[in-house]
Amino acid sequence: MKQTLALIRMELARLFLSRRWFAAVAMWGLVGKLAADEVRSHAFNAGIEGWSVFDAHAALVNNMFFVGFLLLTTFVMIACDSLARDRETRLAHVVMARAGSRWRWWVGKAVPMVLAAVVFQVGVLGASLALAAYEGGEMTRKPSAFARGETGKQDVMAQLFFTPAHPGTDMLVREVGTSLYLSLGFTAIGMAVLALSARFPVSWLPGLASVGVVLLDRILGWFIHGSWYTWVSPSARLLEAMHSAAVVDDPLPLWSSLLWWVTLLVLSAIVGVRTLQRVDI
Amino acid sequence: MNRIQTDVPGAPLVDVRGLCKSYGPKTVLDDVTLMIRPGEVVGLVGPNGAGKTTLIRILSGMSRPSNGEGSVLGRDVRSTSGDLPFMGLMVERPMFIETLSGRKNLELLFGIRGAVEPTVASDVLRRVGLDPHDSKPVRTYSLGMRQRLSLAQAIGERPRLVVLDEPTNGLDPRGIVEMRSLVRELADVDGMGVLLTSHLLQEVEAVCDRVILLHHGRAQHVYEPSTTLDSVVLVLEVASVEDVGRVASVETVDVVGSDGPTRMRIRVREAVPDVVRMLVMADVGIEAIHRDSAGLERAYMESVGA
Repeated sequence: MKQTLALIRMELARLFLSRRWFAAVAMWGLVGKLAADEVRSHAFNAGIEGWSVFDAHAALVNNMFFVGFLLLTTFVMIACDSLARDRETRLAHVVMARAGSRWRWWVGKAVPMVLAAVVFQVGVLGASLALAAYEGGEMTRKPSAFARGETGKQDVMAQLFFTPAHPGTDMLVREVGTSLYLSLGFTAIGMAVLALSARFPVSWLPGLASVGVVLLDRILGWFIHGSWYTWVSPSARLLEAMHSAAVVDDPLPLWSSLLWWVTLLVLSAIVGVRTLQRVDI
Repeated sequence: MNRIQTDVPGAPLVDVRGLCKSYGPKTVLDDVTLMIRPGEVVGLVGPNGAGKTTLIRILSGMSRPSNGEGSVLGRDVRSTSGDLPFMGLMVERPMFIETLSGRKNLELLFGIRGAVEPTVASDVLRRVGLDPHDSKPVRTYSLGMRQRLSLAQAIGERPRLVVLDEPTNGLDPRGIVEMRSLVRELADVDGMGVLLTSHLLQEVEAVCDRVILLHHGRAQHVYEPSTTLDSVVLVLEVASVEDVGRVASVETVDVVGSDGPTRMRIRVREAVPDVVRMLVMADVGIEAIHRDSAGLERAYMESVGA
Protein backbone atom coordinates (compact mmCIF):
# COMPACT_ATOMS: atom_id res chain seq x y z
CA MET A 1 0.00 0.00 0.00
CA LYS A 2 2.84 2.38 0.89
CA GLN A 3 4.44 1.73 -2.47
CA THR A 4 1.19 2.50 -4.26
CA LEU A 5 0.72 5.73 -2.33
CA ALA A 6 4.31 6.78 -3.05
CA LEU A 7 3.74 6.03 -6.74
CA ILE A 8 0.57 8.14 -6.74
CA ARG A 9 2.45 10.93 -4.97
CA MET A 10 5.20 10.87 -7.58
CA GLU A 11 2.74 10.80 -10.47
CA LEU A 12 0.77 13.67 -8.92
CA ALA A 13 3.97 15.70 -8.75
CA ARG A 14 4.77 14.86 -12.36
CA LEU A 15 1.26 15.70 -13.50
CA PHE A 16 0.57 18.87 -11.59
CA LEU A 17 4.04 20.41 -11.75
CA SER A 18 4.04 20.10 -15.51
CA ARG A 19 4.12 23.28 -17.54
CA ARG A 20 1.40 21.74 -19.70
CA TRP A 21 -1.12 23.21 -17.27
CA PHE A 22 -0.37 26.60 -18.80
CA ALA A 23 -2.14 25.24 -21.88
CA ALA A 24 -5.10 24.27 -19.69
CA VAL A 25 -5.25 27.75 -18.14
CA ALA A 26 -5.14 29.28 -21.62
CA MET A 27 -7.95 26.99 -22.78
CA TRP A 28 -10.06 27.71 -19.69
CA GLY A 29 -9.60 31.41 -20.36
CA LEU A 30 -10.50 31.05 -24.03
CA VAL A 31 -13.71 29.05 -23.53
CA GLY A 32 -14.67 31.13 -20.46
CA LYS A 33 -14.31 34.34 -22.47
CA LEU A 34 -16.21 32.96 -25.46
CA ALA A 35 -19.02 31.66 -23.23
CA ALA A 36 -19.27 34.96 -21.33
CA ASP A 37 -19.37 36.89 -24.62
CA GLU A 38 -22.11 34.59 -25.88
CA VAL A 39 -24.25 35.12 -22.77
CA ARG A 40 -23.69 38.86 -22.87
CA SER A 41 -24.73 39.10 -26.53
CA HIS A 42 -27.82 36.98 -25.86
CA ALA A 43 -28.67 39.23 -22.91
CA PHE A 44 -28.35 42.23 -25.19
CA ASN A 45 -30.54 40.60 -27.87
CA ALA A 46 -33.16 39.66 -25.31
CA GLY A 47 -33.05 43.09 -23.70
CA ILE A 48 -32.13 41.65 -20.33
CA GLU A 49 -30.17 43.86 -17.99
CA GLY A 50 -28.89 41.34 -15.52
CA TRP A 51 -27.32 37.98 -16.08
CA SER A 52 -25.47 35.79 -13.62
CA VAL A 53 -21.83 34.68 -13.68
CA PHE A 54 -23.11 31.08 -13.50
CA ASP A 55 -24.88 31.51 -16.84
CA ALA A 56 -21.53 31.51 -18.61
CA HIS A 57 -20.55 28.14 -17.10
CA ALA A 58 -24.00 26.69 -17.84
CA ALA A 59 -23.66 27.80 -21.45
CA LEU A 60 -20.08 26.58 -21.70
CA VAL A 61 -20.71 23.04 -20.47
CA ASN A 62 -23.52 22.62 -22.99
CA ASN A 63 -21.49 23.66 -25.99
CA MET A 64 -20.25 20.57 -27.80
CA PHE A 65 -17.37 22.37 -29.49
CA PHE A 66 -16.09 23.64 -26.14
CA VAL A 67 -16.63 20.44 -24.14
CA GLY A 68 -16.16 17.68 -26.68
CA PHE A 69 -13.29 19.17 -28.64
CA LEU A 70 -11.43 21.99 -26.91
CA LEU A 71 -11.69 20.96 -23.25
CA LEU A 72 -11.69 17.19 -23.65
CA THR A 73 -8.72 17.23 -26.03
CA THR A 74 -6.77 19.56 -23.76
CA PHE A 75 -7.49 17.33 -20.77
CA VAL A 76 -6.51 14.14 -22.59
CA MET A 77 -3.28 15.69 -23.85
CA ILE A 78 -2.34 16.90 -20.38
CA ALA A 79 -3.36 13.99 -18.21
CA CYS A 80 -3.73 10.85 -20.29
CA ASP A 81 -0.51 10.36 -22.24
CA SER A 82 1.88 9.68 -19.35
CA LEU A 83 1.56 5.92 -19.66
CA ALA A 84 2.55 6.00 -23.33
CA ARG A 85 5.20 8.66 -22.78
CA ASP A 86 6.83 6.76 -19.92
CA ARG A 87 7.05 3.68 -22.08
CA GLU A 88 8.55 5.63 -24.96
CA THR A 89 11.20 7.19 -22.72
CA ARG A 90 11.66 4.00 -20.66
CA LEU A 91 10.99 5.90 -17.46
CA ALA A 92 8.41 3.15 -17.02
CA HIS A 93 11.27 0.67 -16.49
CA VAL A 94 12.86 2.82 -13.80
CA VAL A 95 9.60 3.36 -11.93
CA MET A 96 8.13 -0.10 -12.44
CA ALA A 97 11.27 -1.76 -11.11
CA ARG A 98 10.57 0.12 -7.89
CA ALA A 99 6.81 -0.33 -8.01
CA GLY A 100 7.42 -4.06 -8.07
CA SER A 101 4.34 -4.83 -10.15
CA ARG A 102 2.54 -3.67 -13.23
CA TRP A 103 -0.76 -3.50 -11.30
CA ARG A 104 0.67 -0.93 -8.85
CA TRP A 105 2.10 1.08 -11.72
CA TRP A 106 -1.33 1.16 -13.39
CA VAL A 107 -2.98 2.37 -10.18
CA GLY A 108 -0.23 5.00 -9.89
CA LYS A 109 -1.24 6.28 -13.32
CA ALA A 110 -5.02 5.99 -13.02
CA VAL A 111 -5.61 7.70 -9.65
CA PRO A 112 -3.79 10.95 -10.52
CA MET A 113 -5.71 11.05 -13.82
CA VAL A 114 -8.99 10.94 -11.85
CA LEU A 115 -7.82 13.81 -9.64
CA ALA A 116 -6.68 15.71 -12.73
CA ALA A 117 -10.20 15.43 -14.19
CA VAL A 118 -11.67 17.03 -11.06
CA VAL A 119 -9.02 19.77 -10.94
CA PHE A 120 -9.57 20.43 -14.64
CA GLN A 121 -13.30 20.96 -14.17
CA VAL A 122 -12.70 23.16 -11.12
CA GLY A 123 -10.42 25.22 -13.34
CA VAL A 124 -13.09 25.47 -16.04
CA LEU A 125 -15.67 26.57 -13.48
CA GLY A 126 -13.33 29.06 -11.79
CA ALA A 127 -12.15 30.61 -15.06
CA SER A 128 -15.68 30.94 -16.46
CA LEU A 129 -16.94 32.59 -13.26
CA ALA A 130 -14.01 35.01 -13.18
CA LEU A 131 -14.35 35.96 -16.84
CA ALA A 132 -18.14 36.26 -16.61
CA ALA A 133 -17.73 38.62 -13.65
CA TYR A 134 -15.20 40.62 -15.68
CA GLU A 135 -17.67 40.78 -18.59
CA GLY A 136 -20.40 42.20 -16.35
CA GLY A 137 -22.19 39.13 -15.00
CA GLU A 138 -23.87 39.53 -11.63
CA MET A 139 -22.30 37.76 -8.66
CA THR A 140 -25.47 36.09 -7.48
CA ARG A 141 -26.29 32.46 -6.74
CA LYS A 142 -29.94 33.02 -7.65
CA PRO A 143 -30.87 31.86 -11.15
CA SER A 144 -31.03 34.65 -13.70
CA ALA A 145 -33.74 35.06 -16.32
CA PHE A 146 -31.55 33.00 -18.62
CA ALA A 147 -31.19 30.20 -16.12
CA ARG A 148 -34.95 30.17 -15.44
CA GLY A 149 -35.62 29.87 -19.20
CA GLU A 150 -37.73 33.01 -19.26
CA THR A 151 -35.92 34.59 -22.18
CA GLY A 152 -36.82 31.67 -24.42
CA LYS A 153 -40.49 32.48 -23.98
CA GLN A 154 -39.91 35.94 -25.38
CA ASP A 155 -37.44 34.96 -28.09
CA VAL A 156 -36.46 31.37 -28.68
CA MET A 157 -33.18 32.46 -30.30
CA ALA A 158 -32.23 34.25 -27.13
CA GLN A 159 -32.54 31.13 -24.98
CA LEU A 160 -29.25 29.43 -24.38
CA PHE A 161 -28.91 25.70 -24.62
CA PHE A 162 -29.06 24.68 -20.99
CA THR A 163 -31.55 23.23 -18.56
CA PRO A 164 -33.85 25.88 -17.04
CA ALA A 165 -33.49 26.21 -13.29
CA HIS A 166 -36.25 26.52 -10.73
CA PRO A 167 -36.43 29.95 -9.12
CA GLY A 168 -35.11 28.56 -5.80
CA THR A 169 -32.12 26.78 -7.30
CA ASP A 170 -28.69 27.56 -5.87
CA MET A 171 -26.70 28.06 -9.08
CA LEU A 172 -23.37 27.44 -7.37
CA VAL A 173 -24.54 24.00 -6.23
CA ARG A 174 -25.99 23.27 -9.66
CA GLU A 175 -22.83 24.22 -11.56
CA VAL A 176 -20.59 22.38 -9.09
CA GLY A 177 -22.80 19.34 -9.68
CA THR A 178 -22.43 19.76 -13.43
CA SER A 179 -18.65 20.03 -13.00
CA LEU A 180 -18.59 16.81 -11.00
CA TYR A 181 -20.70 15.10 -13.67
CA LEU A 182 -18.27 16.26 -16.35
CA SER A 183 -15.36 15.11 -14.16
CA LEU A 184 -16.88 11.63 -14.22
CA GLY A 185 -17.27 11.76 -18.00
CA PHE A 186 -13.73 13.00 -18.53
CA THR A 187 -12.39 10.39 -16.09
CA ALA A 188 -14.15 7.58 -17.95
CA ILE A 189 -12.87 8.80 -21.31
CA GLY A 190 -9.40 9.33 -19.81
CA MET A 191 -9.41 5.76 -18.49
CA ALA A 192 -10.38 4.45 -21.93
CA VAL A 193 -7.48 6.43 -23.40
CA LEU A 194 -5.09 5.02 -20.78
CA ALA A 195 -6.30 1.51 -21.63
CA LEU A 196 -5.72 2.24 -25.31
CA SER A 197 -2.18 3.46 -24.64
CA ALA A 198 -1.50 0.31 -22.59
CA ARG A 199 -1.87 -1.53 -25.90
CA PHE A 200 -0.47 1.15 -28.23
CA PRO A 201 2.23 3.12 -26.41
CA VAL A 202 2.46 6.15 -28.68
CA SER A 203 2.31 9.51 -26.90
CA TRP A 204 0.46 11.36 -29.66
CA LEU A 205 -2.25 8.72 -29.87
CA PRO A 206 -4.40 9.76 -26.85
CA GLY A 207 -5.05 13.29 -28.14
CA LEU A 208 -5.70 12.05 -31.65
CA ALA A 209 -7.99 9.27 -30.42
CA SER A 210 -10.00 11.72 -28.33
CA VAL A 211 -10.54 14.16 -31.21
CA GLY A 212 -11.14 11.31 -33.67
CA VAL A 213 -13.79 9.55 -31.57
CA VAL A 214 -15.73 12.76 -30.81
CA LEU A 215 -15.51 13.87 -34.45
CA LEU A 216 -16.70 10.49 -35.70
CA ASP A 217 -19.47 10.53 -33.11
CA ARG A 218 -20.64 13.96 -34.25
CA ILE A 219 -20.53 13.01 -37.93
CA LEU A 220 -22.53 9.84 -37.27
CA GLY A 221 -24.92 11.92 -35.16
CA TRP A 222 -25.68 14.14 -38.17
CA PHE A 223 -26.48 11.18 -40.41
CA ILE A 224 -28.17 8.81 -37.99
CA HIS A 225 -31.48 10.25 -36.92
CA GLY A 226 -32.99 8.36 -34.06
CA SER A 227 -33.04 8.45 -30.32
CA TRP A 228 -31.18 5.14 -30.15
CA TYR A 229 -28.03 6.79 -31.40
CA THR A 230 -28.20 9.40 -28.66
CA TRP A 231 -28.17 6.49 -26.22
CA VAL A 232 -24.89 5.09 -27.56
CA SER A 233 -23.23 8.39 -28.40
CA PRO A 234 -20.57 9.25 -25.81
CA SER A 235 -20.30 12.94 -26.65
CA ALA A 236 -24.04 13.61 -26.38
CA ARG A 237 -23.99 12.32 -22.81
CA LEU A 238 -21.34 14.87 -21.88
CA LEU A 239 -23.89 17.69 -22.28
CA GLU A 240 -26.01 18.40 -19.24
CA ALA A 241 -28.92 19.74 -21.33
CA MET A 242 -29.34 16.41 -23.13
CA HIS A 243 -30.95 15.18 -19.89
CA SER A 244 -33.59 17.92 -19.82
CA ALA A 245 -37.09 17.56 -21.28
CA ALA A 246 -37.25 21.35 -21.39
CA VAL A 247 -34.41 21.43 -23.93
CA VAL A 248 -34.56 18.25 -26.03
CA ASP A 249 -37.54 16.22 -27.22
CA ASP A 250 -36.20 12.86 -26.13
CA PRO A 251 -34.04 13.43 -23.03
CA LEU A 252 -31.64 10.85 -21.65
CA PRO A 253 -32.31 9.78 -18.07
CA LEU A 254 -29.47 11.02 -15.86
CA TRP A 255 -29.10 7.59 -14.26
CA SER A 256 -28.42 6.06 -17.68
CA SER A 257 -25.56 8.49 -18.27
CA LEU A 258 -24.10 7.89 -14.82
CA LEU A 259 -24.29 4.15 -15.48
CA TRP A 260 -22.77 4.66 -18.94
CA TRP A 261 -19.76 6.54 -17.60
CA VAL A 262 -19.22 4.23 -14.62
CA THR A 263 -19.40 1.19 -16.91
CA LEU A 264 -16.90 2.73 -19.33
CA LEU A 265 -14.65 3.65 -16.41
CA VAL A 266 -14.68 0.20 -14.82
CA LEU A 267 -14.38 -1.71 -18.10
CA SER A 268 -11.51 0.49 -19.27
CA ALA A 269 -9.70 0.04 -15.95
CA ILE A 270 -10.06 -3.74 -16.19
CA VAL A 271 -9.06 -3.89 -19.86
CA GLY A 272 -6.13 -1.55 -19.20
CA VAL A 273 -4.67 -3.52 -16.33
CA ARG A 274 -5.18 -6.86 -18.10
CA THR A 275 -3.51 -5.50 -21.24
CA LEU A 276 -0.64 -4.13 -19.21
CA GLN A 277 -0.09 -7.53 -17.56
CA ARG A 278 0.37 -9.13 -20.97
CA VAL A 279 2.30 -6.67 -23.10
CA ASP A 280 6.03 -6.03 -23.31
CA ILE A 281 6.87 -2.70 -21.71
CA MET B 1 9.47 -21.73 -10.34
CA ASN B 2 13.15 -21.89 -11.06
CA ARG B 3 14.52 -20.00 -8.07
CA ILE B 4 18.21 -19.86 -7.28
CA GLN B 5 19.74 -18.81 -3.99
CA THR B 6 21.14 -15.36 -4.72
CA ASP B 7 21.97 -14.52 -1.12
CA VAL B 8 24.86 -16.96 -1.17
CA PRO B 9 28.07 -14.96 -1.70
CA GLY B 10 29.20 -15.32 -5.27
CA ALA B 11 25.94 -16.91 -6.42
CA PRO B 12 24.92 -15.47 -9.78
CA LEU B 13 22.59 -12.50 -9.81
CA VAL B 14 21.70 -13.25 -13.39
CA ASP B 15 21.72 -16.79 -14.70
CA VAL B 16 19.77 -17.14 -17.93
CA ARG B 17 20.19 -19.69 -20.68
CA GLY B 18 18.98 -19.93 -24.25
CA LEU B 19 16.92 -16.76 -24.19
CA CYS B 20 14.94 -16.17 -27.36
CA LYS B 21 12.52 -13.42 -28.25
CA SER B 22 10.45 -13.24 -31.39
CA TYR B 23 7.88 -10.76 -32.60
CA GLY B 24 5.89 -12.71 -35.16
CA PRO B 25 8.33 -14.13 -37.69
CA LYS B 26 11.11 -11.74 -36.60
CA THR B 27 13.62 -13.09 -34.10
CA VAL B 28 15.29 -10.29 -32.15
CA LEU B 29 17.05 -12.46 -29.57
CA ASP B 30 18.34 -15.91 -30.33
CA ASP B 31 19.72 -18.36 -27.79
CA VAL B 32 21.48 -15.89 -25.51
CA THR B 33 23.08 -17.18 -22.33
CA LEU B 34 24.28 -14.78 -19.67
CA MET B 35 25.59 -15.00 -16.15
CA ILE B 36 26.47 -12.08 -13.91
CA ARG B 37 27.94 -12.57 -10.47
CA PRO B 38 28.29 -10.03 -7.67
CA GLY B 39 31.30 -7.78 -8.24
CA GLU B 40 31.38 -8.48 -11.94
CA VAL B 41 31.06 -5.93 -14.74
CA VAL B 42 29.70 -7.45 -17.93
CA GLY B 43 29.62 -5.46 -21.13
CA LEU B 44 27.01 -5.82 -23.84
CA VAL B 45 27.98 -4.42 -27.21
CA GLY B 46 26.58 -4.69 -30.67
CA PRO B 47 25.25 -2.59 -33.50
CA ASN B 48 21.89 -0.85 -33.26
CA GLY B 49 19.11 -3.42 -33.43
CA ALA B 50 21.36 -6.22 -32.20
CA GLY B 51 18.98 -7.07 -29.35
CA LYS B 52 20.65 -5.27 -26.42
CA THR B 53 17.54 -3.38 -25.32
CA THR B 54 15.38 -6.49 -25.72
CA LEU B 55 17.75 -8.43 -23.49
CA ILE B 56 17.67 -5.67 -20.86
CA ARG B 57 13.87 -5.61 -21.02
CA ILE B 58 13.70 -9.35 -20.42
CA LEU B 59 16.16 -9.19 -17.53
CA SER B 60 14.22 -6.36 -15.87
CA GLY B 61 10.90 -8.21 -16.18
CA MET B 62 9.45 -5.76 -18.70
CA SER B 63 9.30 -8.37 -21.42
CA ARG B 64 9.00 -12.15 -21.39
CA PRO B 65 11.22 -14.40 -23.46
CA SER B 66 9.67 -16.56 -26.16
CA ASN B 67 11.99 -19.29 -25.05
CA GLY B 68 14.76 -19.92 -22.57
CA GLU B 69 15.07 -20.28 -18.83
CA GLY B 70 16.85 -19.04 -15.77
CA SER B 71 16.49 -16.40 -13.15
CA VAL B 72 17.28 -12.78 -12.38
CA LEU B 73 17.77 -11.91 -8.72
CA GLY B 74 15.99 -15.14 -7.84
CA ARG B 75 12.94 -14.53 -10.01
CA ASP B 76 12.10 -16.87 -12.84
CA VAL B 77 12.78 -14.96 -16.05
CA ARG B 78 9.64 -16.49 -17.62
CA SER B 79 7.36 -15.53 -14.75
CA THR B 80 4.18 -13.70 -15.62
CA SER B 81 3.21 -12.91 -12.05
CA GLY B 82 4.72 -11.89 -8.75
CA ASP B 83 6.95 -8.99 -7.92
CA LEU B 84 9.41 -7.69 -10.47
CA PRO B 85 13.09 -7.94 -9.59
CA PHE B 86 14.52 -4.73 -8.19
CA MET B 87 17.59 -3.64 -10.05
CA GLY B 88 19.10 -0.24 -10.68
CA LEU B 89 18.29 0.78 -14.23
CA MET B 90 19.96 3.63 -16.03
CA VAL B 91 18.12 4.21 -19.30
CA GLU B 92 19.51 5.89 -22.38
CA ARG B 93 17.25 8.95 -22.48
CA PRO B 94 16.75 9.85 -18.84
CA MET B 95 13.46 11.61 -18.08
CA PHE B 96 12.66 13.28 -14.78
CA ILE B 97 10.15 15.74 -13.38
CA GLU B 98 11.54 18.72 -15.20
CA THR B 99 10.33 21.37 -12.75
CA LEU B 100 11.91 19.75 -9.68
CA SER B 101 15.52 19.65 -8.58
CA GLY B 102 17.62 16.53 -8.99
CA ARG B 103 17.49 15.80 -5.28
CA LYS B 104 13.70 16.13 -5.13
CA ASN B 105 13.41 13.77 -8.09
CA LEU B 106 15.55 11.21 -6.33
CA GLU B 107 13.59 11.54 -3.10
CA LEU B 108 10.35 10.83 -4.96
CA LEU B 109 11.84 7.83 -6.76
CA PHE B 110 13.50 6.41 -3.66
CA GLY B 111 10.25 6.97 -1.76
CA ILE B 112 8.49 4.34 -3.88
CA ARG B 113 10.35 1.51 -2.20
CA GLY B 114 10.65 3.51 0.99
CA ALA B 115 13.68 1.57 2.04
CA VAL B 116 16.33 4.27 2.19
CA GLU B 117 17.41 6.95 4.65
CA PRO B 118 16.53 10.57 3.84
CA THR B 119 20.22 11.42 3.38
CA VAL B 120 20.70 8.85 0.64
CA ALA B 121 19.67 11.22 -2.15
CA SER B 122 22.28 13.79 -1.08
CA ASP B 123 24.97 11.17 -0.62
CA VAL B 124 24.48 9.57 -4.00
CA LEU B 125 24.33 12.95 -5.75
CA ARG B 126 27.73 13.77 -4.28
CA ARG B 127 29.01 10.38 -5.37
CA VAL B 128 28.09 10.95 -9.02
CA GLY B 129 29.51 14.47 -9.01
CA LEU B 130 26.34 16.57 -8.62
CA ASP B 131 25.70 19.20 -5.97
CA PRO B 132 22.94 18.00 -3.59
CA HIS B 133 22.17 21.60 -2.62
CA ASP B 134 21.61 22.64 -6.22
CA SER B 135 17.96 23.69 -6.35
CA LYS B 136 17.87 24.32 -10.08
CA PRO B 137 15.12 22.39 -11.88
CA VAL B 138 16.17 19.41 -13.97
CA ARG B 139 15.02 21.16 -17.15
CA THR B 140 18.12 23.37 -16.86
CA TYR B 141 20.47 20.36 -16.65
CA SER B 142 22.88 19.52 -19.44
CA LEU B 143 22.77 16.03 -20.95
CA GLY B 144 25.84 15.13 -18.92
CA MET B 145 24.16 16.22 -15.67
CA ARG B 146 21.07 14.22 -16.59
CA GLN B 147 23.24 11.19 -17.15
CA ARG B 148 24.80 11.63 -13.73
CA LEU B 149 21.36 12.04 -12.16
CA SER B 150 20.17 8.94 -13.98
CA LEU B 151 23.14 7.02 -12.62
CA ALA B 152 22.36 8.35 -9.14
CA GLN B 153 18.79 7.01 -9.27
CA ALA B 154 20.11 3.66 -10.47
CA ILE B 155 22.64 3.13 -7.68
CA GLY B 156 21.17 5.17 -4.80
CA GLU B 157 19.24 2.33 -3.21
CA ARG B 158 22.28 0.05 -3.43
CA PRO B 159 20.71 -2.61 -5.63
CA ARG B 160 22.62 -5.85 -6.07
CA LEU B 161 22.35 -5.57 -9.84
CA VAL B 162 22.74 -2.43 -11.94
CA VAL B 163 22.00 -2.12 -15.65
CA LEU B 164 23.65 0.87 -17.31
CA ASP B 165 22.50 1.63 -20.84
CA GLU B 166 24.96 3.95 -22.59
CA PRO B 167 26.12 5.59 -19.33
CA THR B 168 28.78 7.75 -20.98
CA ASN B 169 26.37 9.24 -23.50
CA GLY B 170 26.69 13.05 -23.34
CA LEU B 171 29.56 13.06 -20.85
CA ASP B 172 32.71 15.12 -21.39
CA PRO B 173 36.09 13.32 -21.29
CA ARG B 174 36.47 13.96 -17.58
CA GLY B 175 32.96 12.65 -16.98
CA ILE B 176 33.78 9.51 -18.94
CA VAL B 177 36.85 8.85 -16.82
CA GLU B 178 34.84 9.44 -13.62
CA MET B 179 32.06 7.18 -14.84
CA ARG B 180 34.56 4.46 -15.63
CA SER B 181 36.08 4.52 -12.16
CA LEU B 182 32.65 4.72 -10.53
CA VAL B 183 31.45 1.63 -12.40
CA ARG B 184 34.51 -0.29 -11.28
CA GLU B 185 33.95 0.97 -7.73
CA LEU B 186 30.35 -0.28 -7.80
CA ALA B 187 31.61 -3.75 -8.61
CA ASP B 188 34.86 -3.88 -6.64
CA VAL B 189 33.86 -1.98 -3.49
CA ASP B 190 30.08 -2.29 -3.32
CA GLY B 191 29.99 -5.79 -4.76
CA MET B 192 27.25 -4.99 -7.25
CA GLY B 193 26.83 -6.90 -10.47
CA VAL B 194 26.87 -4.50 -13.41
CA LEU B 195 25.58 -4.97 -16.94
CA LEU B 196 26.78 -2.17 -19.18
CA THR B 197 26.00 -1.32 -22.78
CA SER B 198 27.94 1.21 -24.79
CA HIS B 199 29.07 1.98 -28.29
CA LEU B 200 32.41 3.23 -26.93
CA LEU B 201 34.34 0.00 -27.22
CA GLN B 202 37.51 1.27 -25.56
CA GLU B 203 35.50 2.30 -22.51
CA VAL B 204 33.78 -1.07 -22.39
CA GLU B 205 37.09 -2.85 -22.68
CA ALA B 206 38.65 -0.71 -19.98
CA VAL B 207 35.95 -1.31 -17.41
CA CYS B 208 34.41 -4.73 -18.09
CA ASP B 209 35.46 -8.14 -16.89
CA ARG B 210 33.63 -9.76 -19.76
CA VAL B 211 32.08 -8.42 -22.93
CA ILE B 212 29.31 -10.10 -24.88
CA LEU B 213 29.20 -9.21 -28.56
CA LEU B 214 25.62 -9.31 -29.73
CA HIS B 215 24.75 -9.33 -33.41
CA HIS B 216 21.42 -10.17 -35.03
CA GLY B 217 20.18 -11.24 -31.61
CA ARG B 218 22.92 -13.81 -31.09
CA ALA B 219 25.80 -13.69 -28.67
CA GLN B 220 28.57 -13.99 -31.27
CA HIS B 221 31.53 -13.86 -28.99
CA VAL B 222 32.43 -13.49 -25.35
CA TYR B 223 35.47 -11.31 -24.98
CA GLU B 224 37.41 -11.26 -21.70
CA PRO B 225 39.83 -8.33 -21.72
CA SER B 226 41.59 -8.95 -18.44
CA THR B 227 40.98 -12.48 -17.28
CA THR B 228 42.24 -14.46 -20.25
CA LEU B 229 45.99 -14.07 -20.41
CA ASP B 230 46.11 -15.17 -24.03
CA SER B 231 44.03 -12.22 -25.01
CA VAL B 232 46.32 -9.60 -23.44
CA VAL B 233 47.94 -7.73 -26.28
CA LEU B 234 50.44 -4.95 -25.66
CA VAL B 235 51.63 -2.22 -27.96
CA LEU B 236 55.41 -1.99 -27.63
CA GLU B 237 57.66 0.71 -29.04
CA VAL B 238 61.39 0.02 -28.93
CA ALA B 239 64.45 2.20 -29.43
CA SER B 240 65.97 0.50 -32.48
CA VAL B 241 65.45 -2.17 -35.14
CA GLU B 242 67.90 -4.40 -33.25
CA ASP B 243 65.55 -4.36 -30.29
CA VAL B 244 62.83 -5.91 -32.46
CA GLY B 245 64.93 -9.07 -32.79
CA ARG B 246 65.56 -9.11 -29.05
CA VAL B 247 61.83 -8.92 -28.39
CA ALA B 248 61.21 -11.91 -30.62
CA SER B 249 63.77 -13.89 -28.62
CA VAL B 250 61.82 -13.52 -25.37
CA GLU B 251 59.98 -16.83 -24.85
CA THR B 252 56.85 -15.49 -23.17
CA VAL B 253 56.15 -13.05 -25.99
CA ASP B 254 54.62 -13.53 -29.45
CA VAL B 255 54.88 -10.71 -31.91
CA VAL B 256 51.42 -10.58 -33.52
CA GLY B 257 51.76 -7.49 -35.69
CA SER B 258 53.76 -4.39 -36.41
CA ASP B 259 52.76 -0.77 -36.82
CA GLY B 260 56.17 0.45 -38.09
CA PRO B 261 59.86 -0.55 -37.92
CA THR B 262 60.11 -0.15 -34.15
CA ARG B 263 56.49 -0.43 -33.07
CA MET B 264 54.74 -3.77 -32.67
CA ARG B 265 51.88 -5.57 -31.01
CA ILE B 266 52.84 -8.47 -28.77
CA ARG B 267 50.71 -11.14 -27.10
CA VAL B 268 52.03 -12.11 -23.69
CA ARG B 269 51.91 -15.51 -22.01
CA GLU B 270 52.86 -14.32 -18.52
CA ALA B 271 51.67 -11.55 -16.28
CA VAL B 272 52.46 -8.17 -17.82
CA PRO B 273 54.96 -7.02 -15.10
CA ASP B 274 56.90 -10.29 -15.52
CA VAL B 275 57.01 -9.84 -19.27
CA VAL B 276 58.29 -6.28 -18.92
CA ARG B 277 60.98 -7.52 -16.57
CA MET B 278 62.03 -10.19 -19.10
CA LEU B 279 62.18 -7.63 -21.90
CA VAL B 280 64.45 -5.43 -19.79
CA MET B 281 66.64 -8.43 -18.95
CA ALA B 282 66.86 -9.21 -22.68
CA ASP B 283 68.29 -5.70 -23.10
CA VAL B 284 65.33 -4.42 -25.09
CA GLY B 285 65.31 -0.63 -25.23
CA ILE B 286 61.71 0.08 -24.31
CA GLU B 287 60.50 3.49 -25.43
CA ALA B 288 56.83 2.93 -24.63
CA ILE B 289 54.51 0.08 -23.67
CA HIS B 290 50.77 -0.01 -23.09
CA ARG B 291 47.82 -2.35 -23.34
CA ASP B 292 46.37 -2.61 -26.83
CA SER B 293 42.94 -1.12 -26.38
CA ALA B 294 41.88 -2.10 -29.88
CA GLY B 295 41.42 -5.77 -28.94
CA LEU B 296 37.68 -5.51 -28.42
CA GLU B 297 37.40 -3.36 -31.50
CA ARG B 298 38.96 -6.10 -33.61
CA ALA B 299 36.78 -8.77 -32.02
CA TYR B 300 33.74 -6.57 -32.63
CA MET B 301 34.55 -6.00 -36.28
CA GLU B 302 35.16 -9.72 -36.78
CA SER B 303 31.86 -10.55 -35.08
CA VAL B 304 29.69 -8.14 -37.00
CA GLY B 305 31.48 -9.04 -40.21
CA ALA B 306 32.40 -5.50 -41.13
